[in-house]
Amino acid sequence: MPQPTEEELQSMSPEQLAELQKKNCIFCKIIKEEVPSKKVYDDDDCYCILDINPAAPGHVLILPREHYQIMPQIPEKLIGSMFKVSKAISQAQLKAFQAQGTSIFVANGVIAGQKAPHFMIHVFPRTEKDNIGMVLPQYKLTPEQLNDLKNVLQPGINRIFGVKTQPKPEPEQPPLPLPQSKEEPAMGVENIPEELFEPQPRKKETRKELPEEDFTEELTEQDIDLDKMRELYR
Amino acid sequence: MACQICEAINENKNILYKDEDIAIMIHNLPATFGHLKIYPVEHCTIIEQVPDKTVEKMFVTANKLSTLLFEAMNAQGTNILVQNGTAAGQTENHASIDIVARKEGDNINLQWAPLKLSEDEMSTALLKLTAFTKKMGFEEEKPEPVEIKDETEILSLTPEEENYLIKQLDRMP
Repeated sequence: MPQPTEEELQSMSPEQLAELQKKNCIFCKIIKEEVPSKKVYDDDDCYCILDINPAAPGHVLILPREHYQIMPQIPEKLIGSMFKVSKAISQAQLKAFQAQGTSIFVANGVIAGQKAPHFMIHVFPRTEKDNIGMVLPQYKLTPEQLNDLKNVLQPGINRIFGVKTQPKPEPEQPPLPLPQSKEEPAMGVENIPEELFEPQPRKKETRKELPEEDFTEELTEQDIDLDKMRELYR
Repeated sequence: MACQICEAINENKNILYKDEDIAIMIHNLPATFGHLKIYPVEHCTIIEQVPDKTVEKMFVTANKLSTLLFEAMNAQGTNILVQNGTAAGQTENHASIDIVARKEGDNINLQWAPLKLSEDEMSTALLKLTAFTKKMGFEEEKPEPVEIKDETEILSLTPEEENYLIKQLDRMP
């Protein structure tokens, strides 16, 4: 396939660029089995292969069959299905390699370590002395920092789960006094002028109309050939 | 069994959200300013013990929280990480997912040095693993039990009832 020049790339719309990226995606080619790989498992949603740059022997990549660049684009059902597979792969690795643990790892964004434009989940077996690292530093938060963080995140989390924050209970208002005088009565049935009432059609008439309509509709839909029918009944 | 996480979940300590399946907390010893934890409410030591349905829910939530960290904390990237077992760096006695907000120059290294494996070693790993992945199964959702009404009840009538029914029959034209 001819590669576009620098100028062509710059004049492309984001949609066109995304399309080009999808066409050139090595992982999409692996999934289509145009490029050989070491397949571990596949189903309707995902395709699992051995990573060619593994952290440990048996390092698996779980790829969605559909091309998604980043995780927020992926539908919920697919996420659930892929991570269900990641749990099963992790279990298989524990047994197959007598591992002492597993790491399930996702990087969103280049800064987090994402290298490919196709979303993937890494699952690899771990042992005590594997020198893989992946250790998270641990900092202490002051109570103020914790509180700040909570204040920033809580509204978003409430929005995600549809949690309605309870507003402060308002002081009970005294019930509104009922209108005592009858000089200005509210709009009631007795105050509507009779001209507004239209005579209602009798029930019999409405029933007669309805089936007729349905019948004509059915006929046009099915496109019955009347000539053929006539011949049949002869 | 005393599990600090179970205790914290029960006592609503530092909990941002909780329902019958999952609980979300701010990590008390975070790697960055913006490090969240998702726990299954039911006590499970490793992720393999967590029911499939809860695993799905946990990761769907992890994705939403990751998006939230981008929006609310101006993160430039996020990592979703399961440290499964002490060999993988698990520090608590309760399975969890870490969601870490990342920024440039945050001095976190989650990259590994890739191993150079020979073709033979790769094939061996594949054989070992596929022996188990072939047998991989998932927990199917159990349908709700349907109550079947005991129809023999109708047959065991007391004499009075029986008489009543026969009388009714007589009355029928």
